[in-house]
Amino acid sequence: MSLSGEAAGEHKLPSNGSVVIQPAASAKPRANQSPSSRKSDTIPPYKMYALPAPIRTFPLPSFYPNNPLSLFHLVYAWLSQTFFPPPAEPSVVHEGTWDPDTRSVHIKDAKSIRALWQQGFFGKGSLSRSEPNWLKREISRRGDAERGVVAEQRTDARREERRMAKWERAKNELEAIERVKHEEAQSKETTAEELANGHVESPEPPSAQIDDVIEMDLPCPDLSLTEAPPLQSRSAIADDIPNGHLETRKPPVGPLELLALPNSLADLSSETKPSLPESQPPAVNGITNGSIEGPKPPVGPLELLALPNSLPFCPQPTAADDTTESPKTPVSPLEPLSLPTSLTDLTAGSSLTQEEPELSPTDHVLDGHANGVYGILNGTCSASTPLSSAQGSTKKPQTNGQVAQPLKRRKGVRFSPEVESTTFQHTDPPSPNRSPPTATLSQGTVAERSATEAKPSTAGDTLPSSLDISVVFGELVNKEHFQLSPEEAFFLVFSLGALKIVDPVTKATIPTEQLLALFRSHSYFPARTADGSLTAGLQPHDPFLVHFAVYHHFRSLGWVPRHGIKFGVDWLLYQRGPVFDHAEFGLMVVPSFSDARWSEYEHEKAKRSWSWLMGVNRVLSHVLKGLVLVYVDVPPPPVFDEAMASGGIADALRKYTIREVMVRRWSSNRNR
Amino acid sequence: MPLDDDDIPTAALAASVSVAAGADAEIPTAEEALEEEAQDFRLFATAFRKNTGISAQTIRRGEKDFESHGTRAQEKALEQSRQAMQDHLSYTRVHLPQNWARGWYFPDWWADFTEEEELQQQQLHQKEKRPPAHVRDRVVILETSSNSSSNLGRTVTGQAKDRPGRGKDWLLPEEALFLIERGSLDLWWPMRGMEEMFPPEKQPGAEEEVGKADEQPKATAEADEYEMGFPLSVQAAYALLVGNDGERGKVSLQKFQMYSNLKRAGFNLLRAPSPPPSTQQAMALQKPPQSNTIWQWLVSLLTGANHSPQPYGPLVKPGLHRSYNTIYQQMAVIPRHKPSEQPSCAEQPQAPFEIHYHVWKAAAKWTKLRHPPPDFYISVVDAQQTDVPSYEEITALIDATPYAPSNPDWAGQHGRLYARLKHGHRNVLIAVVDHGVINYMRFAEGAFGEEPLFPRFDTRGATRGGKRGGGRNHRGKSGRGGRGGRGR
Repeated sequence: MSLSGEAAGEHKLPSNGSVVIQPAASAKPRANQSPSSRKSDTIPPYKMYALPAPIRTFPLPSFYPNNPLSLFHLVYAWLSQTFFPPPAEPSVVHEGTWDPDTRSVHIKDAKSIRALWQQGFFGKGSLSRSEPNWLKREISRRGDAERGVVAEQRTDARREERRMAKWERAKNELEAIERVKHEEAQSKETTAEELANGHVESPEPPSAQIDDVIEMDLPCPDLSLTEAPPLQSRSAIADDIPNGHLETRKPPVGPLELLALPNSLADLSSETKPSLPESQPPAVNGITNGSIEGPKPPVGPLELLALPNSLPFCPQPTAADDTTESPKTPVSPLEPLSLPTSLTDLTAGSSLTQEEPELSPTDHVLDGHANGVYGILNGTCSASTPLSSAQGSTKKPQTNGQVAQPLKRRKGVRFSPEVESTTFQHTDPPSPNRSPPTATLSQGTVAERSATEAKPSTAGDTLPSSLDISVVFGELVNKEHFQLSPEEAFFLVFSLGALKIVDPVTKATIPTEQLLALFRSHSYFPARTADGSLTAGLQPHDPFLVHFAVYHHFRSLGWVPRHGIKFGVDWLLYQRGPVFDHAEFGLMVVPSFSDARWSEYEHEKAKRSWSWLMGVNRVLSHVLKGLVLVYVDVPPPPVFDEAMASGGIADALRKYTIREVMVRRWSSNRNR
Repeated sequence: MPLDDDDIPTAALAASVSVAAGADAEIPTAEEALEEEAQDFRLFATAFRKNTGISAQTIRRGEKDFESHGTRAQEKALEQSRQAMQDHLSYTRVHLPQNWARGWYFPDWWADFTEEEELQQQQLHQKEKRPPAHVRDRVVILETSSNSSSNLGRTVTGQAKDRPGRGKDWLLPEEALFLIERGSLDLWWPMRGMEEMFPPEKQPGAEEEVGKADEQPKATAEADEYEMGFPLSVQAAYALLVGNDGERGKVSLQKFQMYSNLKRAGFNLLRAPSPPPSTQQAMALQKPPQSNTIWQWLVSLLTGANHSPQPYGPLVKPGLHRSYNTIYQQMAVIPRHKPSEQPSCAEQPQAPFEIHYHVWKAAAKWTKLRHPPPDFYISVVDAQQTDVPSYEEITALIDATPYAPSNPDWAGQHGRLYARLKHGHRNVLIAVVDHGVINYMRFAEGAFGEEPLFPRFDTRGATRGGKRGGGRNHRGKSGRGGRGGRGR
């Protein structure tokens, strides 16, 4: 979870990018943080998230008996606060707009967004996982390295690290196995020598065995891309591999998923064998084809090529104009660039590309490389176009169906002892046919451009930081708004008074009583707003009321509940907030009707099967969270109505009873 | 490898494992999925040879070999493992005479044992601090006492001296069935009446003398044996002893499966006493009407009396706030559950959510008559017939268990908040049996209201920054690589 990456406020936007802020009339600047602390680049998170709720407190300074001066300080603070009282807290009432379509409350004012997020972790960004940092992500994605990294990038980097660690581990295992095999072969050899005691048909030297393994891994596409050995050496290695040996070779090594990979040599040799041109050394051809046309290339250039909306980074002015104007291209061409190792890949690849004219155009290996690199660098080409352009020179064009096959990335560990590029995109590339550049640009033009402009464009594009972002992208408009769930919004309105919610049409503030009826009616689908009267068909066990009771219960104890649908529960419970710690508990809300009077009224039968409970618990325990069943005993309608009539919702909430039951799986093995 | 007969390796193993596993009994559920994994039999082999207990750490499962790599080392390891497994399994099992017993099925002998008698029994037992005996359900009489008598069966005391079969151990159906399945008990169907087979007092009934008690003396003891009755198969034993819930003298299949599962895992189990309604009601009457503590009174002063919230207005009054304590106390409108030593609800648990068994961890000193308070209280339900307990069911069930607060070492602001919360104030186990697959769930009475976080807010910025209560990341030692994180 990124902490320091959140430090930047909205004022740190680049001068050419403008944040469009819909100003709310009532929103005043927050004074929760001193200006000096806001200016500094890294505000520690405990300062940034100091307030547990959007209400400030003014504690009196403490009095130390051994320091008499502190008494004066105390008196001074008290007097100054008495005679010049600070504004009544909550001093800022944020404004949100009720959106009946999404059943959420939208907040557009950037300061309100920051305040609500930092003071109690309310709501979520509409385009973000939780914290509203789409704009920062976008800027950082487009190459402004000084903007720092956002949380999502850290997550990606961490995942990348984990993947690398696994890769490394599996590689070590493989090597250990090979070593054992080698030793065993040696010992066998010596014993055989001793036995035969004469002419010995020397078996394969042990080094050759290891070489086999290495060469098994050669067709890994990123290897063939990034490593730029002399071609002769490559083909020499490849020539060493007899074709029959490749075919008949059994899966040599432990993690068999290596061999199950589509780009492993066994698959390749069987796959590409029918289409081998006679003139080529078979192994080399297999490698070439594998790196270019493998149907499921896991790593390296092809995925980059297959990125859906890679058009906006096209260096061509015409294409740039087309794409930057369309606002719906959020997917990043530069994401791979920002990943740690891919830049080196790029430079290596570009040097390779610049060698292209010196090489013969019929050289399939480098031709394929060049196109792949080009695809990375300008990022404009869709997945299919460079492929076909490359294949136009190498072999017969692929059928459309083959191209359109979605490039589903397989999870697993891939091997290549000499891999330099370890950057895997974890996103599944969508079908290339569906990406807009494919639709707009014809194959011919791209191929033509790749043929004609490869040399000049690669030189200019090698370093993405050299581009002027403003020129390419135009002005960056924050497309993200903030959304509060009805429970959060009602808590802010009813419990804290730090929010007012306006009607989307009339722009008038909705009174709390109406707001409650609105939220209650919209907790059903379709909303129970028949006959214009909002209270028709509302019950004490409306989903909104039950959930709000739970939300309020935990909020009023200081916990931070957030929606937990991602973990299959109703609520997640954070001790301080998602920035600081993982949620320790997942809550499932179980409405209950224990009162005898409920038998006269219609209510849902809250029957939940054991398999439901085991499923929820299993999912939660996989993410190391504890399950809490929150039983909400709902008052029967007469009690509820009476309380509503006498003391409003504040009194009605007192009639709800909440019992938490901690559920855990119990293992007899662990409790002996 | 012939072993000493006195030494039961599995028992020694289980005991040592239990000792070692007691330390980390509180480790939460992340790794529990691994528990059904096969063990490495080579470790058992070492245990065999050295005849020493091995700890749970050494038995830990290693890396799986999913497929052969074609190395000889791997083949060798596999072969060793197979050999160890065969050694382990081919160990000659003997049924020692003192472990073997014969039981006779007398389903109706205690059928007329009335409730009053049972109550008397129970009162008698309470005086003597003996656990209740469930006499009416005892259907199998043991001919001789065996090794398992210290844990199973009960004699029914307070009987007349001339009553036949006096002083004999009587087994509950699940106890008998468990012993039959283990091979330590032969269940026989009697052809004669109780009076003939276990005549009262005059002749002390040894096994050989049972034959003599018969009217016509027989030539051989063998013929005599079958004159008295005939042995029953395991199938017949199941048919006789397994029934529906509530049938006298029978046990439901789910309960028996749970019973034998825990019994084989080394636990000690006794049937829980059915709660007499009178005492429960008396307790409910005795319950004081929620005496408020001073703190509650202060809180009510601050929140309730001084501050009656606006019906729809903000609960937190706009104004100058000195501390978050007051702010959060103004928000406390929903009543919070406060666990107390007296059960909060006087309702009795309703079937099927009632406590069926008391469970003790394996201990050397445990006997059926003298034992500490139970470690666990368990309820057995069928996964298909029942649902997740409702509010009334779970509160009644939880309240039927004694107050069991968490470890006092965890208390305090810098104590183990999560552990306290997860432990709860009362707890009960529910064994969910789905066609023989048993899943134990622990339901604990949570009380988040006892652990408010807002008192910390006022000291938050001043004392410590950064992560509060760190170290929770060290706790989840998920054994599997992969996406072992906890998400958000």
